[in-house]
Formats: sequence, C-alpha cells, structure tokens
Amino acid sequence: MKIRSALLVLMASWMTAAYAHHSFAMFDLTRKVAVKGTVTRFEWSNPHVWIQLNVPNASGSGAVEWAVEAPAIAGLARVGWHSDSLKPGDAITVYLHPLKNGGPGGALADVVLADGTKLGQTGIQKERDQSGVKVP
Amino acid sequence: MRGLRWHAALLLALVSLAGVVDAATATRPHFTGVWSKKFRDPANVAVPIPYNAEYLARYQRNIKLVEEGKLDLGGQCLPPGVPRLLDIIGQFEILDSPPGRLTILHEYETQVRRVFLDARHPEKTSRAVNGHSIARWEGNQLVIDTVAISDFVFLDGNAGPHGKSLRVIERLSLVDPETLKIEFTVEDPDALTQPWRYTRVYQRQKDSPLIDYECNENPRNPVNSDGSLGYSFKPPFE
Repeated sequence: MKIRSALLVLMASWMTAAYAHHSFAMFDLTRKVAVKGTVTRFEWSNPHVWIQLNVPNASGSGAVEWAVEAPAIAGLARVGWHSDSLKPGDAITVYLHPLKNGGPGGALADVVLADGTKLGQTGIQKERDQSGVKVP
Repeated sequence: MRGLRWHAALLLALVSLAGVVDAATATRPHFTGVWSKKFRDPANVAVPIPYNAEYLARYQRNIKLVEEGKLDLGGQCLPPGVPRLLDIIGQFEILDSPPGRLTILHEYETQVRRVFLDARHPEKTSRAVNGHSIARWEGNQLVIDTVAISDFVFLDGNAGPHGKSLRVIERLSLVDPETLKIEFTVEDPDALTQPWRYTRVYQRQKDSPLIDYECNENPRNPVNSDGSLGYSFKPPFE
C-alpha cells in the first residue's frame, strides 16, 4: 500500500512535469517493449506527436501498423526534435510502454534511428525509463 | 519677487515628487519575460483546498470520476482557467504592453490574459475562463485581482469545483532576478471555509520562446460517452 501511494505520488509528479495531456492509465508503465519497423507517417501535432510504424510480423509474411503516442510538440522540441525528425521510409526502433488493451500502440519511451542515433527524451520519458522498467 | 520664489519652490517640489515617482517605478521588479513553474521546488507544495461540507462532497464525487478514468481535464482538452493555468505545465510570457495593461501569453491551450492596470472591474461582466483581471502595485508587489471566472473552471486537476463568488488574488514578487514568486489567495465564500492560500515559484527562461500547445490540433484520444478516453490507431483525418 505504501509503495502504491509512493508510486501514485511519483506518477502525479510526472503528470504535472510534462505535457502529459491525459492520464497514463491506458498504458502499462511496468513494461517497455522494443518495436522495429518503417515509419509510414510522422504527425508533428498537439496534444501528441504520433509515429505510425509498419512492423513486419515474425514470419515476414505481413506487417502490422503500430500507432505510437509521443509527448507534445513543446516537450520534444526542447530536447532537439523538429517537424522532420522522422519521415516515411525511415527504419527505426521504438521503445514504448504498451497499451494495456493489447492493441498495437503505446507511449513512446525512446527512438533509435538506423544509424544508432538516439532522439532526445523529455524529462518525463527519462523518469519513466529510470523507474527500472527494462525491455524484456 | 516673492511670487517668483513661490513658483520656484513649487517647481522644486514638483521636480522632487516626480523624482520619487520615477525612483519607485525604476526600482519596481522586472516581471516581463518568459517563466516556467519549478515543479520540483519544495515551495510548490500542494495545499489542500479548504472546502465546506457541500463542496467537499462535490469534490469527492469528481475525484472518484478521475480515479475511475471517467474525467480527465487534460485529456478532454479543457482550458484550465484562472488559477489552475498558473499551476500547470507550459511556459508563459509576461508582456508590459499595450500601455496600461499587462498581457500574459500561455503556451498551454494558447491562453491569453489581459490585465488592466489601475483599473476597476466593470459593474457587470460576463464570466470567462480567465475571468476579468485588474492589477495595482503595492510597493514592490504587483497584485492581480481576478473575478468573473467561468463555472466551467476547476481549481485543481481533480476537478475541484468553485462557487459564483470566486475571486483570485495573485501577489507577484521577485525572489531574485531569475525567480518569480506568486502568492495566491483564492476567495470563495460559497465553497470554502476560509481563503485557499498557496505559493508558486517560477524560473525565468532564457532563449526559450513559447511553443504553443493547442490541445485539439490532432484529436486521437476521443472522449467516450462515459468520459473515458480512447486511442486512435489510425489518424482521424488524412
């Protein structure tokens, strides 16, 4: 119970410390998964920047389109992103906190480009990353 | 000769009075610039809202909805209004213009406040999310007084309600050239047992122009009929 309260306080501080828009209740913040694919659409918008990503399935016979919710423009712009940081065709690896409902989406934790470059992380993304959640 | 001396004395008095006024103006703190709330500063502690029994019951009902995921002020893109606008993420810029006014630009929901200096509230004014604001100097403090705040403004992120007689007093002062302090006194005799007082401190931002946060540009978290939020796997429009 104590840990749960501490976690709630921590989450409250996250929510106020970034353009969080909505509560993170829909995401599983205890998990972080890596999704590798090709950008199909990059939406530089508020309240969230969105990355649409084509992800080949394990057999290679098809692909699933993922919709990844990133922070708001102001948060990302202040850590070096801009409106053409990603473009259709870019091969990237996205680390995300998945949707609890199991759908192909989640809250963006980190983006790594094909050449290994990491895009900037906002304070809230860093805090979540330091919370001990590891890619399985 | 005597008359001339009189005039000289009067002139001298006026000149020195003007000097006093100038000195007061010159030493007034420089609030203009871009500011951002220091979220991790211990001064920015949350102070419970001293609700009376009736409003506490309403508040608790709203808290329950928030906990059940059926009310999310940010998610529903509601403008925070005064005073919550000053307690939320996002930079704001205080402009000392046009003459006789301060203009405060907020990133969050691209809100604008117009603060009329040494003015009075109109006898009758329609309610608005940021109300009607006037300001006066009290020594080195600028005191902003806001009334006529919309019914649809909540006092905090848990949808804390307010009554018709809500009045928000903000006392602005500089802790140092880089730190703005605002002492809030929220008066609401219909809803509160005593004024709600709290302090917020803000960091001056350099070389960090405002970047607007317009919440409904790309609505991909639709509000469901029960108030919960959805998640659009596809863009809502091409």
